[in-house]
Amino acid sequence: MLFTVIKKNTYQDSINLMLLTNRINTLDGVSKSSIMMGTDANKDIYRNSGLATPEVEAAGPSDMCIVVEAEEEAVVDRVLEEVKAFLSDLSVKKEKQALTSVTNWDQALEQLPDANMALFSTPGEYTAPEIETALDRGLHVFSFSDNISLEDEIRLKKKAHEKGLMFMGPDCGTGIISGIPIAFTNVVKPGNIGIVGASGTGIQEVTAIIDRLGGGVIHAIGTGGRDLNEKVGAITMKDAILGLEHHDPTDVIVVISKPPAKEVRDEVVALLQKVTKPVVAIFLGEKPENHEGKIYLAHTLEETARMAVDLANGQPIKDNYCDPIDYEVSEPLSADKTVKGLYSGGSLANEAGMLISEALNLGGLVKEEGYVLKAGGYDVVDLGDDMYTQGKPHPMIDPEVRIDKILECAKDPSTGVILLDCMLGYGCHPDMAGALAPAILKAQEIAAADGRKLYFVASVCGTRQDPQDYDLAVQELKDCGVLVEESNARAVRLALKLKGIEFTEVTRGHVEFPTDEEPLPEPDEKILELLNTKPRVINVGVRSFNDSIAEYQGTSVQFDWKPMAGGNKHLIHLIHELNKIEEIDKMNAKVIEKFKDAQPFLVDVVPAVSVIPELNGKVLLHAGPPIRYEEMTGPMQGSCIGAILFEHWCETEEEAKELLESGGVSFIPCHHVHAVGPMGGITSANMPVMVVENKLDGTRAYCIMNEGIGKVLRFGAYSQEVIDRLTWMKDVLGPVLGAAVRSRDGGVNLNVIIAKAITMGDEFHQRNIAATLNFMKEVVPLIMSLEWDEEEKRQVVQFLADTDQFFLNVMMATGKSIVDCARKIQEGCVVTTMTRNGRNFGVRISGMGDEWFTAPVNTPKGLYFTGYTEADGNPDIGDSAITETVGVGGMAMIAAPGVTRFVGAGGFDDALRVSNEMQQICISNNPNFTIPTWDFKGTPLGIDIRKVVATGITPLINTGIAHKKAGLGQVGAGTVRAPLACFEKALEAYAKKLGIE
Amino acid sequence: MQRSLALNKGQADTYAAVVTQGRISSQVPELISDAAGGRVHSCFRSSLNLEICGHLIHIGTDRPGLCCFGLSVSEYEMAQILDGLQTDDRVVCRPDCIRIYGSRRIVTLNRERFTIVDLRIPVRESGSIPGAGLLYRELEARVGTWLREGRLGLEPDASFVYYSKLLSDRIDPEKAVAYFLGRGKGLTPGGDDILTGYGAILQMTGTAGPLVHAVCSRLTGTTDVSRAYLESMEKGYANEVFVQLLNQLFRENLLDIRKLLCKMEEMGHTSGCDTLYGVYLALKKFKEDTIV
Repeated sequence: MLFTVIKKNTYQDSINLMLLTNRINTLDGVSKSSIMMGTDANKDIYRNSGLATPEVEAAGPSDMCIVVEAEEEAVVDRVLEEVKAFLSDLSVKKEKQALTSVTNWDQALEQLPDANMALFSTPGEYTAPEIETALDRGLHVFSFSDNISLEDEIRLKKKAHEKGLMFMGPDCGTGIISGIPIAFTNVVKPGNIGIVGASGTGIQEVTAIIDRLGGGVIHAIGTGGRDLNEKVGAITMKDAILGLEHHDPTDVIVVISKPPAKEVRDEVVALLQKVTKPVVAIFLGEKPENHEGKIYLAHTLEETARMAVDLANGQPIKDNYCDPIDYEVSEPLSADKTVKGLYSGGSLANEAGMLISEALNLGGLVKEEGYVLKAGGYDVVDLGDDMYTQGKPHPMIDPEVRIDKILECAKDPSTGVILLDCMLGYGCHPDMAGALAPAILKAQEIAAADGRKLYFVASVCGTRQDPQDYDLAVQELKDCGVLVEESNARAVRLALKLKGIEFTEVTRGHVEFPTDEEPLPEPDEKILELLNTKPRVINVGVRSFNDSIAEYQGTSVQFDWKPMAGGNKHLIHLIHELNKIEEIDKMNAKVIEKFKDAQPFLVDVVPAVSVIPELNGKVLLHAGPPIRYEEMTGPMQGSCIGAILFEHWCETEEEAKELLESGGVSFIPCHHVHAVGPMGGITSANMPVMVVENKLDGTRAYCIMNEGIGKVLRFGAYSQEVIDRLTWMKDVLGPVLGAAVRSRDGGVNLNVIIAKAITMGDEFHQRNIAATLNFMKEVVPLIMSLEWDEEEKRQVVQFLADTDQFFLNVMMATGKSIVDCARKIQEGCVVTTMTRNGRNFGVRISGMGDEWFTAPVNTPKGLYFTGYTEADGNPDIGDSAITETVGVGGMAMIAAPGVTRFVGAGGFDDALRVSNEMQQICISNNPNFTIPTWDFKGTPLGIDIRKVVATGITPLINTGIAHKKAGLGQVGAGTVRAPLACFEKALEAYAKKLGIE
Repeated sequence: MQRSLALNKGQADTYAAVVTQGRISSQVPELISDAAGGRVHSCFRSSLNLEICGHLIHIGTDRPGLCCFGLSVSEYEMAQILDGLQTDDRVVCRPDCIRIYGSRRIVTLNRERFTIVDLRIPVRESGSIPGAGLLYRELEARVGTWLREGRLGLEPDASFVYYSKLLSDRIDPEKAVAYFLGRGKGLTPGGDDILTGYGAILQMTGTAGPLVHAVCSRLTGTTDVSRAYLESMEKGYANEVFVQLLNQLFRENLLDIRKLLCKMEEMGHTSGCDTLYGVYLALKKFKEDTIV
């Protein structure tokens, strides 16, 4: 039975997940399991392996899918514990490493401003746009990632070349830059040999042999397997060759490749002929009869290495490098016995296939699916081929597939020799020889029991500097009866010798090669910079790739990558295209400049209709994007009833409902008339509104005053007590406060209050007490100085003293005055409005003017008053998200850490985490409102929808929670996320406006 | 010595350094051919040895004086070269430079721009050394102190005395060499230093033949570094301060001789005194043969 657990938004790289899968598969009760990210490619693998479930099909690219086949469901709990422990170990390891981690390119370049290379090990289907971003940022690219389309490779390599950069890859598993091993590579002493290779294990074999012969390699530049494809045209190889030609510490240039298309081969050879330094080249699969011009052509990887070392030491090339195999074969194997090659390295498999084919005169590699060579019982397999690695780790990392194959071959009576490679180096199994030994011994037992002789022949591709122990690996193989040779070529020759076949090399002649007079082009100075310095690397993907860089004195920063936009390729495309337009950042800067330069002053308190003419007649304002009465949730409908009763349009609840249901009342969003309203936001003509004027350009905004807590209109209550309070606010509070404010020339400076209060623990959405007190400090003297009825003045002062949240409404009007000023710049993609009406969340952005982008709201999560639960809560509602829009509220959670306690276990660290997270989706910080607990950073400024969609991080809003039924008031407080869909729609529309589809 | 370690422009790290000023022993070009590979043989706190074409090449600073098979650079450059360097790191020798490929940086010593210092042992074909007696008397006055204070690398036991006499009497060099060669502790065993000092005096007068033959047949019996010094002696080369002392024998300036003697006494743990002891043994015969 299949059990599935989906861990949402939990990204891990594929190597870690494969190792985790291996661990889970060893648990009792688990028949089979697979843990992978929910990308399209991985879903195919699930389907093919019979592990696809509906949950997996529904998962997104950033979701971790855990599928377990077991008899009992109880096993799943053990699996989940193991998963938790594994991920926790990774996390602890992450903390213990002194490595800086970032999550986007801006942060990466902030941490490592002189970075000159990006190293990619991310899923290929998402990597091409990221590579392009890296190139746009002036970085060379090393792409371990494969599954990048040929078209993308061509386009990106051309772009890299035009920019004077190198794109090493894709599918570049191995490289050495300035002596530093990159990705899956051996540790080789630096020296005067420079290599350019289109083959990972080819580079590994050659560099390892060079090292063991006492030579050294300063650069081994991987080009990726398709670079010599006729459409790619060897762009990277040619740039690398030119670079090495001009790199003074390189004395000998080595080129390693499979046979390329003729035209491309000719171009590369023509280039090499003009190089001044000695050149050794191998086109693996070709059997050169002569050296050509100045190029020494090698037949095997071992020969390549030995020629290079001789030239590097100032020695002439030998006539023949085919030294005899020492092993005495007294009795060759009979004709019915064959050689089986089980390889983890593709190039070594190809070399073995080539040599066997030549020795048996097979006329070339006889390929079949899954086989490099399959002819007359002679089989050579590259177990690293996709066919064998579906959902499994590469055989260089995990021996399981090879162990199975060894035993399978051992049972085949025709198997006389099993050929193996044992790869060492970074990224490889810590003790592959030890891991294979039991299977080798068992295989020999199987053959012996059958009265057969079974030989094992191997080579260890590694150096004595590798993380594994080279000498131990050789000894472990010898201890279980393996005949170990110094190179793959020698191992193959020994295998053939055991069959009575002597492999020899003919001494090569030399032919002249005519060249033209055209001088060699100069390499770009950026390429020379790469070759003449230690690389400074942005490592995008697998964390362990930093290890070798740090060990060998390179510098790196870890980019914890996960697919942008939840893996949605269309959105990823839009974001990348938008990010290419430099003008957008400039436009956004203009918009947020308006935010920053705002000068809000409370200048008056007046009846709403006196400043909002639209309120003539039976018209009500409401919070959120446009909504009809019948769609409103309970609290908003309740507020409407209360407003009708307050305005005396009806005298009873029933009449009010009838009026509403008959369409007798028109509704306008507060936002459409420069107003905002808390919770239901219902504002009627005679309700007093505060007038906040942004003196930057005179923009005005309005908001009703805070009624206090408990049963209040904004939560949908409409009892007589509510009406009476509203009436008092109309008749006393509004006029007194208005007169007080008018008595100060210019009004009350709100920036000053906000700047003070944020240092005193307010965030201006759920916590306003300090701001309210500071506000009182300003207005109470003004009130007391009025020539007014003393009792009314006392009542007003008492009301202000009793209403901790009074400043919330002031802040809301302030926020509206800021955004309505900024919105006049109809450019860029800064969020200028966030609001909710209990059904839909509405977002507006600077470049799209008044257009709403809506999506269903979420329901807040938080603490509920006694007797109430989440089931009672109304979905998110209110214009108060204007506070988050201008960078306070949930965005500035760190200013008020106590607010996190509304969601249960919260504290300072949670508050910090939230504000740091919000920072990631903002452009800048507002220096006017600095937060001491955030190291005096200013509040986050300017939510950029590109960043929201790219990261999947949506603004977090602090909010009160109303009862879903009208009239029951507030039932709790908590936090809620803006729905991502609003921002995605805004992004699509904005991109369309700019002509990007 | 002025700094000449050039830094590549705009680099975050001094990855590739070029040294264009230094001094080089006149023996070095004879030891290493134009193009060859090699390795770092050994690293110390303020010097290192390379192995190229089977020969040891020393790189140090000027403080102890130039080594007869070496180069010297400034202390700053020495620190840069040694930073991150390990035994077996690769070395390449080119006609114009020696390049050391360390894990932290590649250092190119532009040897063709280095000042060549002649470190040949001065030779007088006439066989007489004018200042021999002067030097002998100075050494005689010090030898007693060296023996009493244990400033020689070998224990002055009966065997030591016996074989020292063989050397000073010029009797049976094979036997004396068999005793002294490789005897003692350290990079250059005391016995080897004695033979080096002794042999240098014999080289001055062209009478080193039997000794050199005896030494060459036993060179595998000692350390690589000591072997390099003995081979240098065999070819007629010695370290800078020692050569300066030997040259003083033709100028007979007592003050300079004494200064150089003090310098040599401070060299190594006992190497300087051991070498001078060998000189003393060689000069004893001279004293008897030459009227001074």
